[in-house]
Parts: sequence; C-alpha cells; structure tokens
Amino acid sequence: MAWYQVKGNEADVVFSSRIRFARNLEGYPFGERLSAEKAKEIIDLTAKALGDAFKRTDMEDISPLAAEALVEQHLCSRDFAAVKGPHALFRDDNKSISVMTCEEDHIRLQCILPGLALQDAYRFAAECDDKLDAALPIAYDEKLGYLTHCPTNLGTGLRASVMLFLPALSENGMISSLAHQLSKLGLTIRGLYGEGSKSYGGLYQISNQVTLGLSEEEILHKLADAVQNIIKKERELRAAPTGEAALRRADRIHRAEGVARHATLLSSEEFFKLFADLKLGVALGEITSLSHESLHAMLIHALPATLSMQSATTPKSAIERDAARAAFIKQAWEVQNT
Amino acid sequence: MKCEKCNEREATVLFKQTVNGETTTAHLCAECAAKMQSEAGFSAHFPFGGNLFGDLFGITSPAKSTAKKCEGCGATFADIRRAGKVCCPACYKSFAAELEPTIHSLYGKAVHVGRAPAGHRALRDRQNKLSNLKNELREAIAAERFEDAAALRDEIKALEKEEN
Repeated sequence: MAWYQVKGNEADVVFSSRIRFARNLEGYPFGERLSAEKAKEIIDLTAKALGDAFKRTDMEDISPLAAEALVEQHLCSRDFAAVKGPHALFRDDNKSISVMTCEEDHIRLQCILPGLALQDAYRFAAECDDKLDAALPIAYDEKLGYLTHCPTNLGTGLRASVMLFLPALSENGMISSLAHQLSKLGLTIRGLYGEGSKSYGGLYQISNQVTLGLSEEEILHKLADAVQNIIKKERELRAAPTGEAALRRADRIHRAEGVARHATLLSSEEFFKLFADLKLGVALGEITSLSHESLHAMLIHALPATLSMQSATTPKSAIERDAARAAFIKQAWEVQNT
Repeated sequence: MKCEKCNEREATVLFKQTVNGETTTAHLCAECAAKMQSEAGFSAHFPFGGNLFGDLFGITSPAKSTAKKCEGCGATFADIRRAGKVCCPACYKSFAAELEPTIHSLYGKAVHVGRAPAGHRALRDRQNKLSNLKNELREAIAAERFEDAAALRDEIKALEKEEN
C-alpha cells in the first residue's frame, strides 16, 4: 500500500509529514561539473551502501510520464525528475523512504508518512542516513555541518515539513498573518498546489527555514509545536459556523459530493476545489461514505500523470483525461461503499 | 543621548535584535525603533534564493583571489558567483574567507550542532568528554579531593593520548 493510503494521526488537518536530508560525497563536484561518469559512480556507491531492501530506478530508463507520476506521489522531487544526465531513485516502500541521487545534492534522502508523524519519519530517515554514513565519504565540516551544494542547506541539511489542510484559516484570511508569525520562528508556509499565494485544495506545507545552528531535535520540536497550535486554531474555526453559515457550508459540501460522484468531466483544478469541500465534509461528519485516507488516495490518483498511468488506455487529450478522472472518482467512491 | 539611527531625536528605546544567535543592541528613538521592528519582521522572510544568491556572493564578498582555484574541483570564486552555489564540497574550505560573509548573512555566528558522520561523532564525543573531565578536575582540586583529582588527571592523559 502506498504511504497516502494509510490512516494517519490528526488526519482531519494533517495530510503528511516529511523529513529530508541533503548529503554529499567528498571528492565529487556538484551540478554541471559532475560528469556522467562520476554521477554513475555516485549512483553505484549509493546502491551498494543501501543494500537489497531498496528498489532501484534509473530515471533515464523510465518515461517522462512515469517520472511525473513519482513526483505526484511525493516519491521524488520535481527538480530530481528534471535532472539531465544519470540519476537514480532508490525506494524502500516499507519505510516510505526515497533516496534521490545526483539531484541538486549528490544524495537527498526523504521519508514521507501519512498524518502527523515527524518523529517516526525522522527515525526512519536517520536509520537510512546511518547506513549511508557507514559506507560513504560524507562531506562534513565541524562548524558548517553537512556540506551542501547550496549554502542555504548547510548544517543539518534537514528540511522537515508537514502538509496541512487549512480551509478554515484560509477562508478567514489568516494565512498571511500565519506566515508572518511562522517566519519569526524560522518556519515557512507555502501553498501546495497553485502558484504564488493561490492555493487549491486548501493544502499548505510548513517547513523549517534555518538548517544550521539548531539540532535536528530542536528543529522538529519547533515545527511540531507550531503545527499543534495551527491544528487547534483550524479546528476552532471549523467549529465556529452556526445557523445560516453552517447551512451554507453543509450545502456546499453536499453539492461537491454530488458533482464528484456524478460529473462526466472533471479537470484537476476543479477536483482540487471539490477536494477541499469533500475533506471538510469528512472532517465534520457531513460525509460518512469516505475516510480521510481514501480521499487522499483519490486526490493523488486523480493527478494527471498518475491517472494516465493507471488508465487502461492512456488518455490522448485533456478532455479524455477529464473524462477518465470523473470515471475514476465515481468508481473509487462506489468501491468505498460496497 | 541621541538616537543611533537618525542622530536627531532623543533615544528612548534600547533596541535588541537576535538574528541566528547573534544579538545586537542599539539606542533608538521610538520612531526608528518602530521602523526597525517592522523591517525585522519583514526581513525574517527569506530574502533570497535562486540566482539572487549569486548577487549576494558578489555584493558581500571581497574581490581578491580571482586567480585562486579550489583544491577539490579547480573552480574559481568567479565560478561560484556565477553559479550562485559552490562547485564541490571542498570549495567551502578553499574559499572559506570569500564565503564567510554569505554564510554569516544566512546564519550569523551559529555553528553546527546535531547529527554528524560516525567518525566526526567519535571525535566530538571525545572532545566533549575531555572538556567535562577538565572541569571535574578543576572542581576536585578546588575541593581538595586530591585522590579524585589524580584519577581524573590519568583519565585525561589517556584520552589526550588517544586523540594524538
């Protein structure tokens, strides 16, 4: 089962938790200076260090569509999928770990788990990091910590992030003041889908900005504390509407349910908007025929590349894809209720 | 006392600011303090990224050592400035002085704490243990516990020998 199909903690607000370490090898250059030959060496060294538990994918051997599907499923980064030249992904799906080689850094290792699970994700990632450390000449400096391609990742090389569903904070216009408060704590927030400040689906990602001068534990605590406060505030705001406001909201949720279950064409943008109402409906108990995890899986499986990959015949146009998406959602919903 | 910023109004506020562990203080008038406060809030948003970073290297770094090359990859500092990122891990050592202003602007005087590769971890653990033992030795001598002090001294010697 994929990570997003598993039930997570605080699932009414938290979509996922992710830990990412940036690591590099002494004696190997970065970016354009890294030859194809040297990149292959890094890939082979990493393969040997990780052992058999990891499934290797040489990204040059898979189609752009398959690579995009991995991005959509959060199993690798968009920058990684776009790398020119040899680059390989290693996955241990039992622990939800992905190791990307030859991205911006020689090695980027991530663990992504459903719900609020920063400590577990950190533990899995650290175990994997120990494996790499035991076998590879990891570049490190006593003062600067782990040496990275970009100086903004120095120190721990750690980016810890939590993906949150914040429709009530967003509707109340509180995201920008939240961003301001978070920045004072060395944390940052961004919309997950949509550009700039525009967010579809009510999904936001909060992560640490500062990587050097704080230990991994301090970074995690700071993030976890902030997330707990945000969860509390989001739940308070969701509970607030009464009377007409509550009726209007319930109507919006059930209209979204109607469209999702009966539309013939659904664009991904439209489904993102529906998703926000559907998820709120599940959280408020208005929709009882879906669980949070089944809805999360629906969202990911309805993304363009993942949708195309799982369709019997690859959709040839946007309209065909929108039809395939609507059919998929309808069917996924029926499966839930049989 | 005049405000350190505008040099006109009377300073009524002691403005304290901590950025990445480095605290600076200034005597300011209420007006300048309020301005600094809002600027501090604003600048806390990460101000650079991508290619802007190259500009940052350019603005804050000394123009010397154009001919110097990194021992690891042969890159010059001009190469780093162009890329906006270092060219290999050894660049951090080869261009430590040139990179210092950039790293300082990102992290202040902070140094790394937290995880380390096993080899470094052993070294750091030993150094921590050594400094603890030295403290204990000082305390033992001050309290005239000379037997304890002798044992601590032997332990310190053994550790120092291991390090060399």
